[in-house]
Amino acid sequence: MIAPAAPLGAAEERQAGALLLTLLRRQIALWTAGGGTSVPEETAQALLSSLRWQLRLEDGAPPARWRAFLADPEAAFAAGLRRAARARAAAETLWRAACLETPADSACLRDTLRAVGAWLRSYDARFLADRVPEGIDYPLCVPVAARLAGPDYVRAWLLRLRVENALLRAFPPAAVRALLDRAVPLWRTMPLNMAEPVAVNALGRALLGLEPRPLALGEPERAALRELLAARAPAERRRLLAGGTARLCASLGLPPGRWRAPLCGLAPRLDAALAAGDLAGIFIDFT
Amino acid sequence: MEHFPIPVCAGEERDLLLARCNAAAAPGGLSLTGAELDELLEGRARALRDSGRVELGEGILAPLAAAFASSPYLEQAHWAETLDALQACFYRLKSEARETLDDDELLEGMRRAFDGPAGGDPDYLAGLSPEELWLGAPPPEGCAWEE
Repeated sequence: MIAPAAPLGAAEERQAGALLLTLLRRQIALWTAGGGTSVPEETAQALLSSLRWQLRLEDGAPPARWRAFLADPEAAFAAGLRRAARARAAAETLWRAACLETPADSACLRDTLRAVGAWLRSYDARFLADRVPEGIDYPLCVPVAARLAGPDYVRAWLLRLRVENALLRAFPPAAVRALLDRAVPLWRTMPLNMAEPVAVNALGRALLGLEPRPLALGEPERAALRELLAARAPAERRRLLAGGTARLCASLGLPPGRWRAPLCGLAPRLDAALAAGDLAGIFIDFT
Repeated sequence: MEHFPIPVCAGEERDLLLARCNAAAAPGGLSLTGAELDELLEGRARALRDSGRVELGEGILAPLAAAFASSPYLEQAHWAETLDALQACFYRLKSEARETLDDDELLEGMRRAFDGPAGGDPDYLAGLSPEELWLGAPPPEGCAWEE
């Protein structure tokens, strides 16, 4: 068993703070390009936040990382720059793939991908390396963790989008559009997720032992779902959802881990809908 | 929000700054004492705080001294007091200009206004906006030297 590293001592903390300020002073000089000795507090704050992200010295960073920084701050900073450049390059690869495969019907998603493209073009790993694109308005089924920043955030966002795209592409585009027109009529113009209603209807079919394609669920199928789900205790319903998700992903060739959270997360909504005796708000009547 | 430490200038660093300020002001026959510099450093911390700025380097005092030392309106008796008022003006104007003026441009504009319409009165500069400073402000109404 590896013993946890001892926390930083007071002297180490002081030294680390002084070294961070030394690096920040240099960043401010570069930022102002020699044109000023001072910057607004917000700018200093943003540059410091970027520096800490580059050095991976955010709040809660392990003592070992702080000690590596203390041992060689320049090497740590250079490694941070390289890491940011690699993450940006990886995000660009994902972005190119996402642009090619994303259905063009959602104006919000199109604008979001455009905003990500503009961010990739203007990204500078030296300054404000932890900033995220403005204009990511398209909501994903499962949001990206708030602790992520910079190209790490963008990569995670694009990865999730590609997972959602893979689901959408598993169905005939006409069926997807027709389902969305019923489920979320403003999906073409408003910031509304496209994958979730498709995944839920496909799950409904999987729960009934049907092939997920072509997404259709008529009143008879919904009645059968109501009967199937209402007869089970909440815990059993959750197991049923997990099994249905696994079957759905297996039949579509999707990674089940990525869909477990959004589809098993349906349970509370299902509980409420079953109590009201109506699954219409969850499984969309679409034939 | 992170709290930025107010830069402490002490020991050798303070002595160096004092030497730099006095070397810069020497052509005008002006100089600061150590005690005056300490008061100016307190004024700098106050001015930075008031203008919402952060400065981790040596600061603007030496460049300010260099920019103003040859002004005909300055005299040794008020040098420290004037520098204090000028540095407060500097940081305020820098913020109000929203970083559109670099330090040298701002110092040049301040010096022009100080020797021109301000007639050596730093309080006059305190009432100027960056635009007025840059475009050349008219003399205040009722100034004796207006005519």
